[in-house]
Amino acid sequence: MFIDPLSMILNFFIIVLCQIGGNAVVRYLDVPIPGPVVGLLLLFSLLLVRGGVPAGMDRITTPLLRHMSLLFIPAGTGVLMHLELIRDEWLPIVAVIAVTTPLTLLITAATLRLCMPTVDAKGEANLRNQP
Amino acid sequence: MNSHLHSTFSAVAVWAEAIGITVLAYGFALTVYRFGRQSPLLNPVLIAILATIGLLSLRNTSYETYFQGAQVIHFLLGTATVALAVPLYHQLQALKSALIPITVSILVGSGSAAVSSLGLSLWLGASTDTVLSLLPKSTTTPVAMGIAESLGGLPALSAVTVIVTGIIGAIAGLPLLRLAGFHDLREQGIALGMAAHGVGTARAFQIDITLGAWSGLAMSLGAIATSAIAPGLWWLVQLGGLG
Repeated sequence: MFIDPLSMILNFFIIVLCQIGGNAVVRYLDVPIPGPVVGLLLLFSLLLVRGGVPAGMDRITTPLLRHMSLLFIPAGTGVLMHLELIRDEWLPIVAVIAVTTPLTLLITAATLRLCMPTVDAKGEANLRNQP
Repeated sequence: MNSHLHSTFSAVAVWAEAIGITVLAYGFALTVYRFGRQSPLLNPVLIAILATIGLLSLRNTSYETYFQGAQVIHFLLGTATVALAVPLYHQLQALKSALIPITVSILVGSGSAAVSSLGLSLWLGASTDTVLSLLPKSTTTPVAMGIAESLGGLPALSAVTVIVTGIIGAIAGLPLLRLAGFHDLREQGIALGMAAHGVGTARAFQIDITLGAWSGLAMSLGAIATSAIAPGLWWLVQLGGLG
């Protein structure tokens, strides 16, 4: 299927507009919520109203999300600036990660099971994971 | 006129160097990840950050100069975060199939992740910088960095703790869940995406498409929930005079 480049650029522009809009909303309301998350909700609402994802938008988001790891690099390299803090506080950092990660996993799974009682009755036969 | 031309030229040189270093580090990290059969231990972001640090010190470039040159890439991180709405929309059917159970477990999961890391880091006497950087560690990296930034924490420290959390979740998550008796793919996926975000989701997709889809759904919803819960929680802590 042919998707013209113009449609991809247009859809990219729509996403950027949501990003700018999200940042503007956050700044205007002065709330400590990340602007891009508000932008995500804006775009999600647009898609809900439209009732589908335009082909050009699918086309442009696929490479953007596939290579999202690349986009973390400039900000992530900023740890260079915090090596001293990590040396001083590695113990609480490691302890918090080691304790709260398994806790979150188990609490989330347990909550879903409590709220979704059909999981065992119906879901097990075709959804069961291989051991 | 001449000096104007010169400063334009040097700005372009700064961009070219920063973008070149970033792309080179990313390519190296992807190669290592593929050669290592995509083991979560060889997380590409972590390796790319180390490679970038190496390249910067080789070229004697300061982080400030590098970051200034890499502004375009940093801007696109926000764009990609917004674009997460697209895969979330594709999961609409799964979301609708169990809207209330999923919403409740995401809210409880995000809440317990934020409360436990906040409580434990405060109790262990971590500095405010560390407390705020650890608070969003179960959310996907761009959102966690955004949360840390808007609360006055250190986005880069958040990025690293988030990735380490994801690696631990991706490696230990499924064995732990099975041990605890959670065998349903929906339970495993939601828990993995909630606790181990993008790294957990990548691992889930390696095992099963359904597992990956549920994990991705939980990752997006968890990021949205934590964006609201973390600032609220921090506000309460400050109100109580603990932070």
